[in-house]
Amino acid sequence: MKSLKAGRIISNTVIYIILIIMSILWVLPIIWLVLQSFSADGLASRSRLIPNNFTFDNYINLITGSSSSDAVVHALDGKFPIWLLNTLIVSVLVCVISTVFVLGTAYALSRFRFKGRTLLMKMNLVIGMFPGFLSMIIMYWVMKEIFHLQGSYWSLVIIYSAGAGGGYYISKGFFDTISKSIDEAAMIDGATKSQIFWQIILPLAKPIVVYTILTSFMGPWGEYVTSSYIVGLQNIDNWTVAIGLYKMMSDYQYSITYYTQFAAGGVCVAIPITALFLGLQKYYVSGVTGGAVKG
Amino acid sequence: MEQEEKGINTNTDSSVFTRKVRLLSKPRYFFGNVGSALLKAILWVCDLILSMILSIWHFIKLIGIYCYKGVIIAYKFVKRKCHQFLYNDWSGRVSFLIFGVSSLAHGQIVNGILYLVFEIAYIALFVLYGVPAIGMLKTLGTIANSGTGGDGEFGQAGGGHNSILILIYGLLWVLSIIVFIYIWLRSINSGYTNYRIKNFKSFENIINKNKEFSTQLDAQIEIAYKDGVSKSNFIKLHKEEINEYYLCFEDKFEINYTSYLVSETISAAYDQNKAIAKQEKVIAKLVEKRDKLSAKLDASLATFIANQEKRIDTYTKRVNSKYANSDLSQEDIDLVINDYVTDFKEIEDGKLESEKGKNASKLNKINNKIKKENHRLSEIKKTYSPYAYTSETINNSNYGKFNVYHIKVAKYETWKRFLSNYDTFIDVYTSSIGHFAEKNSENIEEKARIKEEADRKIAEINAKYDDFERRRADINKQIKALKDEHLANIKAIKANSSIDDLKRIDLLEEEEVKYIHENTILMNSLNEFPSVKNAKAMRKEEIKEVTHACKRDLKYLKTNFNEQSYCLQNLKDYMMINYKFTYKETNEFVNYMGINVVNGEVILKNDCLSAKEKLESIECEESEYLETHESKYEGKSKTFAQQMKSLFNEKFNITILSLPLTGIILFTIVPLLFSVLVAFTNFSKGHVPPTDLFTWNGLTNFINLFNADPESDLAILPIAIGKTVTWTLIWALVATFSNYILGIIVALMINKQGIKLKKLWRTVFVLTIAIPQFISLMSIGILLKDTGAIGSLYFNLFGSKLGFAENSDNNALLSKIIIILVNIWVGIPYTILSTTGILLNIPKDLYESAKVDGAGTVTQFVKITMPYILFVTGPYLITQFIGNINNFNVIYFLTGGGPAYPGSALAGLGYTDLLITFLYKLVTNTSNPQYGIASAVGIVIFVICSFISIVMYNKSGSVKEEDQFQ
Repeated sequence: MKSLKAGRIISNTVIYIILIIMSILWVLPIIWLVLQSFSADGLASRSRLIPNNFTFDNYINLITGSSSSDAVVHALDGKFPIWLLNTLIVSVLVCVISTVFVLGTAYALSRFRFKGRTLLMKMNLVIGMFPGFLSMIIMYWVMKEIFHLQGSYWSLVIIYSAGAGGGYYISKGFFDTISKSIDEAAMIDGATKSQIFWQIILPLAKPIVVYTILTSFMGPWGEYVTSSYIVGLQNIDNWTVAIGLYKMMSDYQYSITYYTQFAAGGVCVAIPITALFLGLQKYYVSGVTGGAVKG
Repeated sequence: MEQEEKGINTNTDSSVFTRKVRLLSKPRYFFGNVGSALLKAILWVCDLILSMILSIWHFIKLIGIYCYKGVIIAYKFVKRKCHQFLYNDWSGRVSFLIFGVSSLAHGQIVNGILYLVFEIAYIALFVLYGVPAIGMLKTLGTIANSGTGGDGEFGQAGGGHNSILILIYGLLWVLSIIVFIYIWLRSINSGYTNYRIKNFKSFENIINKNKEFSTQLDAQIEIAYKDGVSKSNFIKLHKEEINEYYLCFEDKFEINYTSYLVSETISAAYDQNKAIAKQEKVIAKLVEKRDKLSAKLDASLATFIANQEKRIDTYTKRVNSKYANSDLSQEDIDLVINDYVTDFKEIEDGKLESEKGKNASKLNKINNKIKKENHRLSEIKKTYSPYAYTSETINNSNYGKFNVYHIKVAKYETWKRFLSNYDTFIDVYTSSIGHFAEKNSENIEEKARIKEEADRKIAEINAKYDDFERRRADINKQIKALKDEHLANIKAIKANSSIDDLKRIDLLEEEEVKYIHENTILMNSLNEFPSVKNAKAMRKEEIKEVTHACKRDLKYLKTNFNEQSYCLQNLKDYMMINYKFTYKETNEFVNYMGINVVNGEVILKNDCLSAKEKLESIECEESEYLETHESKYEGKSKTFAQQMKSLFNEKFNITILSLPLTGIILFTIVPLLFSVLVAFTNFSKGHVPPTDLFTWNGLTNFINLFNADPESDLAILPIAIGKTVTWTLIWALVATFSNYILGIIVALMINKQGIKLKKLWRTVFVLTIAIPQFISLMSIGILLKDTGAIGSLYFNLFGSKLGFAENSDNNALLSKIIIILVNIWVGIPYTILSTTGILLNIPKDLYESAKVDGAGTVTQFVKITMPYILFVTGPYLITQFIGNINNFNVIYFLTGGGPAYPGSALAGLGYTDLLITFLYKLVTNTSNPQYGIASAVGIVIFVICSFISIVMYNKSGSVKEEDQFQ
């Protein structure tokens, strides 16, 4: 018995050491970025783990647009608040629309048996096999030539939210687990199907509603591929934070000027979303677990 | 469940039996293990290849089946439309050409006008704009903007053509034809429905007349089918009889519809007989299989028994030979053997029993299957009836429900019932005045009682399962103690130098047998309990049931009644319970009464007198209605308003799906179609609208991808695509499995017993998910570059550059490895989150029995944890794999695809580029855009993804029927 206990202590110690090392590795890039955002050394500080001099100017420069002493270019000065606002508008609108779309589609596919239902679900699977960016090739031209929204973040709102209904899997899985007898009881009481959806199913499915809101807000917030292609690199005032911050580091000229501002911007973008996420972590886990089990 | 059973079985079998075997022959085991592992690996690879081939074959077969089905569906469809044209009135027939005429003729004014307007507008627009737009698809424009002239219809300011617009509008017009056809079919259908609703009675009459003959024909066909008479022969043989039958009818319409019914009866009867024969064949096959299996099982049981005897024989011989030269007497040896044999028999009898049980369960399985098929057969027989009867049900369910007569009469009846008891209702209402406070307090008491009851029940359930758990833990403790004691005893016997070898063997054997015996008893008693997982689920289920019932009861007990609401509620309850009025009717009646109470006085909108008047008027109306509608059927199609109303009730799915579906079709499917089409054009540098035109170029893009002209500027493509595809596949495989396995290991570490601060560890990892990927990945990218903190740290430590994503051939492998490591940083948290719940749900007894068997941590992980999680999360793994093939972020933000190839001028392709970043670069390269080739690359990705998922889905076999979840 004694040796067993000793063995457990040893194994636990090993696990603690591994976990501590991993935690450091996992947190290191984040802490490093935060430290860099307070650096007064400009681009040179990227080769140090801890900057030599600290300052708060990066954040002030980022928002007011006054550039630092070693500035070479001024194209992006003071644009960050605009980008942040753009991103907020896009994210909030997309979040609202796509939550309604996703939950509605999931409810319809879970509770109704209509002609073409399985065909619809199979079609969605096949579409999922195409890389999402493939349809963007032509969407750029559609937005440019037909809607005349070239280089505007409004085209992003349309693109992100229009196709959202396809991501119904997790919510449908959750709705399937809610007993149908609840629907039937409500129908006897004289409720219509739409009342059942809004007043009975949605309150019962609170975890999945929160999950859907959270994921559909986080998606556009940090998305780069589509937004960079659709909005384009010419319309600085229409950029989202992802494009803007990427541009800050895209070449040497820019990075000399904006490196520390990039770090500060990254921190600014990450803080609200991280707080939101950690606050609603419980719901996210329930969504991911449900999705993992049901495929 | 299956896993669980297996676990227990291996446990009892192996612990009881292999121990004996191990005693007899230890060294053979090692080689057996290695050999079997090797064999397994080879078999697995063969299996994978085979399943690949099989899935291709399945795919081809599936396409064939769908084609066949499609032809049949099309045939039936055309036949149905012809039928709808033949049996229709003039307005329905006109609806085939001019939409909505039938709707207009049957009182659906709004519907009719909408149909008509749509048709006229569509055809006009199509002729004006659609035809030229589709015509221009052929060349995608001929007049470039730089040129002069042109009609400017599709052009820009320059007056020339714009290929993009031509492509988009042309395809949209082609797709609009589908919409037009859909509306057309709806118009036809609504016309036919209107006709049938109107003429419900005459169709019912014909069908009723035909019932007898239909039954007669059906019986004849059953006999004929058994005699092997084919359908056409049957018709030939009975032609005269049928023709004679037609003579009973006078009306031409009746004869026509009767002939339709007869032909349908014959084909339906033949189909039915065919289906029965097929089902019977299936059952016969199963029965044959069962007989074979039972014979086989009997044989194996016999060999099993024979083996036992053989083993006893061998043992006897061995003991005999071992002690042949020793100074033990034969009697003593016999004694040893006898002891062994009795013990052996005791164990083996149990073993035999379990073997028999297993056989029985195998047979049971197949028997159940036979039962199911038999059930299906009876279902087929039960649901079938001669076609005239089927036709009657169709007539009733599809068109009879529009019968207004019954509804109206029923409504008159309920109103009469309500009005003639008007006084009673007022009395009921008055009698409940002043009692609301009483009721409230009563309900509060009742609520408390219900809550108490529920709590008591829950406590009982908990006590029951806690008792289970305790007893199970007790037994587990006993098993462990027994094992410890057993080991200690063996040690003691081995260490005891005072006894001789023979005695020692004797004692060891004795100890072994005793241990096994007791262990088996304990194990069996353990099996009596539900497994930990089941017990947990059962407990949860039972508690849920109780709480739900409690909640339901509480919901209907209101405690906030005031005078008005209590009286009203009382009245409503009285109406619904004593008079069986529905909820809707009750509300209607209460509204009519307009009853209210103010200061103890009852106020009515309609008093008894006016109720009497109303009753009289309704009686009048009713008798009038009954007189005028003697045929008892008054069909009426739904009006537009009614149809709109149903969109929020039984057709709510249409309302709620319409917007998301339109979004997906217009912004996902149609653009995908466009992009696929672009792959067959030369849309690239020098052909970019609006200044230049592009046109179709067939398969040139695909040919360039795999076999480009070495002289052209696309010469790099075949090399690039080869490298990229290989790296994409390797990347997806390594990234998926490294994340998966490492994530599970970390999750296990966090959840291990005795590890504290579980929440902190989890939060640290979850932080990675929360922070937007472009920020975390870009900062890691900067850190790892030679100029970054880690890069320079490496330089200071080792004196050479790390060279991550730097342009040099030697750095390709290093960059790839680093990317995979960083991807672990990104991906592990997702696995931790999604598998933690599953890990906690793995039945604990699996591990316990494995521990008894002496399995180490690694063995447990490989043999229990991994299979269990794989079993549950199989489909998730496939989506992960596909997701990794298209993992843009990790590559683009870390290396941007670098290090680049030497001489890859085309879009700066690099060694770590995936297909998806390759595509992105081809498209976004403003100096040399290659849209056509990019689309071709997208199609290549699609082919790879769909192929892999087909193979994996077939292989994993965990594609479950969705209704299993519900």
